Amino acid sequence: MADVPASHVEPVDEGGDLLLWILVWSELITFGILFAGFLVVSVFQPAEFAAAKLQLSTRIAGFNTIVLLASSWTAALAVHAVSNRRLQQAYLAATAALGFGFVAVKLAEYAAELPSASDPAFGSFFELYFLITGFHLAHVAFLGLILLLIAWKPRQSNVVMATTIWHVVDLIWLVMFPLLYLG
Amino acid sequence: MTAKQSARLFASANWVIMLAVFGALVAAQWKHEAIPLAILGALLVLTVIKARLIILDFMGLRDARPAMAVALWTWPALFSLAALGRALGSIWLG
Repeated sequence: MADVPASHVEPVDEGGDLLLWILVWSELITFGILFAGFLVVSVFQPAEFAAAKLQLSTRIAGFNTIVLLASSWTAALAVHAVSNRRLQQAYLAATAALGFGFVAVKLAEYAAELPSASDPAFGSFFELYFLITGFHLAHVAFLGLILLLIAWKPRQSNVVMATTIWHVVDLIWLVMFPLLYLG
Repeated sequence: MTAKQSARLFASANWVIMLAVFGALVAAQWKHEAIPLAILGALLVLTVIKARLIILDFMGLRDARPAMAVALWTWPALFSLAALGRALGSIWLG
């Protein structure tokens, strides 16, 4: 039999591959709808949204971006450490720890923002802000726990699935930062 | 992981972290004041670049699934354009 060119070889399905991509696109569509809603409301309340954004801390959000990107790196390293179980567990635990660091910083940021949240001068900004960032924060916290569970007894298919979703949550934050804090 | 893949992942991670630090430092210069449109545009370009590196190298889609990588990349690109469009609109329309 003639050799099949590498470019014609189908990617190996590690089980649950279709489910993974359905999950990835579900997340992107869900957050996409939330972002679109935020943008539409911001068009109708431009002064309120502009004033509300000045109440947010871009420094804290920028720091949290670095934390989340570092966690994405350790997640990528965990996928590639398949031949070294101990190392893979360490990378997964580091990813979860950085994720929990992100959650802690975000909660501290919320504490400073809460007094402004009920001010009617900011229109619907803070309702949408807490809804969108809170939903994202819940994803980070939940996935951090999942990563810890996987780190306990790592199986490569589980590691690939959880870290892929982790990268997607990171992508969502990358877009959320300029959209909510800066734009 | 081959040595080439390892080197590429390390290089991408360096770029992503450096761009994030740079973006965070730039954004932090405008504490409690509106960011100029040109700076916002530059930060959105950085966002799209970081997203591309994460999709291609962190998620490992560069060689495995190039079509999926392009499809995923359109998501941050679309919302970055929308954010820029909204900022431009608010300036032009008052």
